[in-house]
Amino acid sequence: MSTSRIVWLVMRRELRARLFSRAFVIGLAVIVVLISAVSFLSAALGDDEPIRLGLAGEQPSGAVATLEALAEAVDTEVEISDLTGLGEAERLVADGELDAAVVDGELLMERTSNQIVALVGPAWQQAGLIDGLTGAGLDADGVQAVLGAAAPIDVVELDPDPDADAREAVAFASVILMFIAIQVAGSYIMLGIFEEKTTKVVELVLASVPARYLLAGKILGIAVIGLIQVAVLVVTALVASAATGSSALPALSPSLLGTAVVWFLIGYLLYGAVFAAGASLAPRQEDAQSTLAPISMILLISYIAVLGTSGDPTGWPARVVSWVPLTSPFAMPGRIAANAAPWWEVVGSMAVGIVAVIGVLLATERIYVRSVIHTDRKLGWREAWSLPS
Amino acid sequence: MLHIDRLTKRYGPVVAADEVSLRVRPGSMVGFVGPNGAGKSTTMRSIFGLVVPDSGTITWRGEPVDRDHRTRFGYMPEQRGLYPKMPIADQVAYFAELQRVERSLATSRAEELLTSLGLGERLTEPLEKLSHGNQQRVQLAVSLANDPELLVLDEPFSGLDPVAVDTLQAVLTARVADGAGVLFSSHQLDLVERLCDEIVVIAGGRVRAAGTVGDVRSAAGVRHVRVRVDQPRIPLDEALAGLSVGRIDGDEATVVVAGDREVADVLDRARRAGTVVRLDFDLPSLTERFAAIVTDDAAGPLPGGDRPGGATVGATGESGDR
Repeated sequence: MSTSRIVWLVMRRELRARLFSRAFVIGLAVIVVLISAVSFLSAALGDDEPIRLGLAGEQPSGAVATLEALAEAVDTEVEISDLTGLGEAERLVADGELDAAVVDGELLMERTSNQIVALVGPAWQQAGLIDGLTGAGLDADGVQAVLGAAAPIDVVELDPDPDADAREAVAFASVILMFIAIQVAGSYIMLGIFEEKTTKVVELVLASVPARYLLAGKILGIAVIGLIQVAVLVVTALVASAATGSSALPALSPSLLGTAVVWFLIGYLLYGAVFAAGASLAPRQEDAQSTLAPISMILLISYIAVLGTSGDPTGWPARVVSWVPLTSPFAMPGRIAANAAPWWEVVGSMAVGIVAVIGVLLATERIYVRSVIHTDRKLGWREAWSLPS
Repeated sequence: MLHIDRLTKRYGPVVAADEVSLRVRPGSMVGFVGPNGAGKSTTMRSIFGLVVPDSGTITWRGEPVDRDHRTRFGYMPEQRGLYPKMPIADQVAYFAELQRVERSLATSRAEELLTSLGLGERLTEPLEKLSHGNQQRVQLAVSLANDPELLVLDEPFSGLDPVAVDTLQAVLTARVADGAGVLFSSHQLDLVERLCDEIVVIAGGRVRAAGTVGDVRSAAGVRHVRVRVDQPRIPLDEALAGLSVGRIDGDEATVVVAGDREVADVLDRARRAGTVVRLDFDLPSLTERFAAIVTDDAAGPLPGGDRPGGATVGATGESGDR
């Protein structure tokens, strides 16, 4: 029988056993709910809502136009509604239906908002100035031309990236999601191998299938499950941010999503392989704890190290962790999202990651093939390494 | 035919298998008997490449056994185990597919086998929902899923209730009648004696006796001679002194002799006591032979290596059986 067919059979069993398991479905549902909840919550707390402004009584001509021009300059929306008079204005502002109202030159607010004062004040001042000057007999167009040349002032942000905040958020989220995805997939590998050892079914499987094909089928099958999970996570994030009108969308570029898949695979294979080797050493649950605890610890420390450096994606700690294979799968997608990684760093760290994966897979194969058949006792790493195959 | 030739496997100082040789012919059933740790499992596992022997060969129809051959073998390991959460029909079909059985055939055969074993109503249930006895049936179905030409079963009768024992006997007999070769290990000598065309007795990693049940019973040359003297002039124990007299019951005595020639000696001595009115001799039973072989083994030093001290025998016993 061809190698690929055996590997496919093992893969298919793995897929079926996991995809239809209650644990998998529930786990995925929990993640979807969590991501949606976080997105909606952050959207609800966010303050990029338009400013609702009511107008009543006499307004200087051109005030509204100036206000809109000012608002546009600072990337804020203003919704304007016409009111019947002071009474209605007071009621609507008090009820929170409006953020502010201008009635006969007075600005009403429930509580003073610097943002609204900063927008409405200059607009009315300028419009009133034009009205006054034209009233004094000056040519309205001439006044407009003189003042228009000076105001409204152009706002120049020192950060040239208008989506910087969104990118930072995506970068941070990608570290967390990558950690979840790698940890879940890694534990599936571990549990799968472990189940075969504790139930002794591995003896029967190995009677017809070489150990390395069993390992390959398992790792590939769970990789597919992991990718499905990553896809669900990403789609949920996209849908949630589209539904809430979050500005994170522009940061989720196709290149980020594409590299995220590659980084997931690198991280998954790296950690999954180590988990696989560890699980193959232990015949019982009690033995597994001591073998796997150090691996989980390394995973957790790597994750924390990346989280700690993600605040400054161009600093040297962030650059170091995005090159080290154990941390790069978490770190690099974040830096890519933050637009903080030059292409050569992306390609270079990916190459380092892939080399590391190949090395770890070869070592895992050696350990797994030698140790998985020993269902009667716990083996040490060194012992397993040097067993006859 | 499966031919194991001088298979040897050592685990450190323990010689698990010491030049073990045996054959399983098509259409024949071979019983593999020996005490725990004698090397049965090591030998059986090596057929499936689960043990890599230090020396010796295993051939199938004259060719060294490889993965292709093994797809035509069925195996029931001593350590039973299947996937607990997998539906039983899927499980049997999966193992059939791993043995190259084409998918639709694997599926239909899984259902057939399980139905014939009385599990037709439970095909979609996960293994863990079944009773221990039914799980054993699924294990048997798995070993038969590729319609094997050679069945290797490690202690298939252990832990079975009498009904299940009958079922298994019937299944094995039917497979042999269809031309399959069957090799199974067992402690139940009565079963082995009843079912097997040939038996292989192994102890301390070494084959001590092999052949038909009759061959094994007669192999050591030991005979049980029963002699009866009509009104003996001297007591029989006196007349037979120096021989290994088993039992004396008045005028009748049972003597264990080492070979046919010694029967004449017993007759001569009995005649000194009086007129011999009856003389018959019989082969020891399989159980007696087995006990003798195992006792020999325990008394004498282990060939090929020193058994560790008494305290550690128990600890290494498990790996010795691998």
